[in-house]
Amino acid sequence: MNKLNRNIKIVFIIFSVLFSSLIIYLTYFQLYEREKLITSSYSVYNKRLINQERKILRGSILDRNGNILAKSIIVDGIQKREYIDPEAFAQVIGYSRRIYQQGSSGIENTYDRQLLGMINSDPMTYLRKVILGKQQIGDNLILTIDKKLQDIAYYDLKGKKGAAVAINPKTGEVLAMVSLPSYNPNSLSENWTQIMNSPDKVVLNRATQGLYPPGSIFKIITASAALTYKPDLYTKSFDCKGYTIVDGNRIEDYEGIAHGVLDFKKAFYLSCNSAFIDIGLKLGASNLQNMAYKFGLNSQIPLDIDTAKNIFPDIAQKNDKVILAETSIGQGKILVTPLTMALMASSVANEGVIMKPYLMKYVIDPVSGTVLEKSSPSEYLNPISKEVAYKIRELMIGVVKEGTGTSAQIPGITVAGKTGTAENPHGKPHAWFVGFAPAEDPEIVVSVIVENGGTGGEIAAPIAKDIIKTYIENKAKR
Amino acid sequence: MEDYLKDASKAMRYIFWIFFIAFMLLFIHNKPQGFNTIYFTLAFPVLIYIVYRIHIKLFPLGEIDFIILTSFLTEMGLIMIYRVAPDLLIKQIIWILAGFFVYFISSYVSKYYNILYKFKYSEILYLIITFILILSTLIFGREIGGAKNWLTFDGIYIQPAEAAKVIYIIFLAKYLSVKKQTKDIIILGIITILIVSIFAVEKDLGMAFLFYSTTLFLIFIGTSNLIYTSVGIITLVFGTLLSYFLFSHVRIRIQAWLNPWMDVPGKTYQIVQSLFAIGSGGFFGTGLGMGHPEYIPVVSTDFIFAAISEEFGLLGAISLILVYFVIIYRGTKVAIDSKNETGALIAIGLTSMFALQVFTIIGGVIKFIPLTGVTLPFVSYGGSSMVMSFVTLGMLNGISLKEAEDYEQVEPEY
Repeated sequence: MNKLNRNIKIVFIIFSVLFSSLIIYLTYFQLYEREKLITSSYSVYNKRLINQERKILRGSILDRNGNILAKSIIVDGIQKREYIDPEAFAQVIGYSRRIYQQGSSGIENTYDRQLLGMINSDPMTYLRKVILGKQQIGDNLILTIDKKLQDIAYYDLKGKKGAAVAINPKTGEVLAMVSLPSYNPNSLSENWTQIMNSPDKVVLNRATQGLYPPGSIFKIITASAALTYKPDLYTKSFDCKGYTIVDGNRIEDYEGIAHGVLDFKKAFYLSCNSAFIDIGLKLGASNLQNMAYKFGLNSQIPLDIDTAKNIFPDIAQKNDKVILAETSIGQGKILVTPLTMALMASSVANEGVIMKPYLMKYVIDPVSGTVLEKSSPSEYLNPISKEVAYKIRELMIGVVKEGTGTSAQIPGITVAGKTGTAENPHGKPHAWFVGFAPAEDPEIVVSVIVENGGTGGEIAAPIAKDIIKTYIENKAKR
Repeated sequence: MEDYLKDASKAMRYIFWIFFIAFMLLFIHNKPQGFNTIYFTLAFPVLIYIVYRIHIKLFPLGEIDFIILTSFLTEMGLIMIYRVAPDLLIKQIIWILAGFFVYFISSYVSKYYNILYKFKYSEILYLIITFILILSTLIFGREIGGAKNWLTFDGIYIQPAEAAKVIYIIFLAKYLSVKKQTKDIIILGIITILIVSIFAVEKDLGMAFLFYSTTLFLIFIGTSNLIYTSVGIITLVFGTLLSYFLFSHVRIRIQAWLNPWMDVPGKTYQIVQSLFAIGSGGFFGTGLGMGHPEYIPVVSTDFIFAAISEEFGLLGAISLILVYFVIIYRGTKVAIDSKNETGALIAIGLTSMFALQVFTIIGGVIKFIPLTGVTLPFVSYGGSSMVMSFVTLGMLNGISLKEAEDYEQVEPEY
């Protein structure tokens, strides 16, 4: 009987331990796990938060000059998102799951918590607001984009397919980013399936996610590699017959035009394929690949919104002359985004340094005006030296002055640029232009692509010129 | 004695206050549908007051704590059930009434528990009844919420396993008080594994765990043999591992426990919603009527603890756990005070079953252990669980009464 009572006591002690552990675990949960739970990304499954978020008036999105681009209004007690200038900003601003349950993208997705005013409140205050059920307002987002530049880029590209990106090379601020064809996000709820399944892929942000062969604008990288690894190539001269035969394969210049004997500079101005194939072959695959990698051509560019990973084939491994020749002139299997090409040009404009691009300038409290979050410029890549950057800049000035890019000229301003006409299997070549101005002290870098547009000099360069001109004119006004 | 009753009536007063305040709030928030709801709601405090008075009258030496604590627990259940499923309120009050009724009956029966074993081999009869009850659902049962553990008669749902819990303990206590040989324990082991296997086939993992663990505890208490106990523990571990690989529903439960985020919209939906509810409650709760316990699945039965945690917070949750702990303490006390081994084994057996059930469901909904669906005694909605929980406490009360009265009878001799 004594043993029995002892055993019963032991069992009771076990129960005491079990029940104390329940209390301890619950307390631990409320102290540590709870906060993680409420702020985790899984909170999308927490209907309490979704309910609460419906009560928050979503913050506005503004351009760098304070023009409203997106705002929320209440119509008959229901919150509605209104996009001003909807088509020009559609892909950059994107849409939010809070409004269109099916999904979210762009700035609306990245800065969702900020727009809901959730960044500076701890879960405790947050939940107190849940209880009080007060109508709150989210924080406002100021973008780096300039609506004027965005609009001019959009209207110049209207009716075409393509993209344009403008960046401040010194800071990495994205000044404009358009993608066409576009759609009207104000009608997203009514036309969701139609917009999502459109054959033109209107929701795709071609500026950051469109992958294109770079064509001749890639010669900036070939030239950079030559000046860095084989500087004596700069003083060589080349004989262009209008075509080159590499290992029995004939690669033609644009429309088979023979440039005759020309030096490095002229080869760049006129975008001579024969000369650049010669340069590429002398440079070697590993040098060219190294330089391309330094420009980020095998990586995914970091940005506030989704970007596609650039593709650069492993030519050093293959040791195939034909592939090396094609790659030297930007053909072959290279695929890049227009944003990547803007950054390539910005390296030349910014003494060799590529600044990390960004779209969010500030997050501000709409009531007090306090800055809650701020992006600051930071270095992203440094592919070339200052000296090489200066030399390439001279080459790019020459392109606009007397080469293929003359239609980008602006009276009184020195524009530097490079055209590209990228052959592709889908019809007419893609027209490319990358450039910057003022060349002496660059403030804006522009990258433009028009899908199946024709030559870069005729089609893309004038659009870039318009964007740069608008930028300069507006600066003068201010 | 009188001080004791003073405290008891003070506790009852608090219980009435909580009830009136809570239901006034709830009726403002969630207007009662028809007068029936109001009548029944008002009937509840009257009911528990009458039960309280009768208990003092009939069993002056009885466990009045059981009445106070179950009044509190059933009242918390009613508050939460009205909150999340108002339609179930009246039914639950009727179940509580039935529960108190069987409490008194089982108190009298177990006071003379020797008559339960009057015939030779009567414990075998209880074992047979246990098997019949458990098997009945396998043959005639309906599958609800993933487990086949319900019988239905004209819209009334019954969980025979709830009754089997008590009857099995009556068998087990007698068996272990007379049979302690190795071969007896081996036979008991085989019986237990059979029972657990039937539950496993019915996908009723909670019950399988309760029966197994209670048997193990009682073997330890009855035999003091560490070898049997260790073999039992090892078998439990191996059995769990084996069923992890054999049964997909066991695997899902354990995976959901280890990583609740693996499939939130699907397999782990319940536990994640439970955690969200507990998390939004915090320390002090959102307050009654201010949370969203309706977002938790099966909230009126298995997950009612999560709902209480949300609206009453950590403090409410801990107080509930402590109330259960006091019941377990009283149950253990009854077992220790019992002079008769069978009586002690019945008492500690019922207490163990009760304690393990509370631990299993609370531990499950807070993700301390893998989730298995058992009810939270006295709080969850449901008749079978409510009635059998009252039988459990009634029997403990009866055994306690027997000891107290035996003691009083021998007292004059000193």
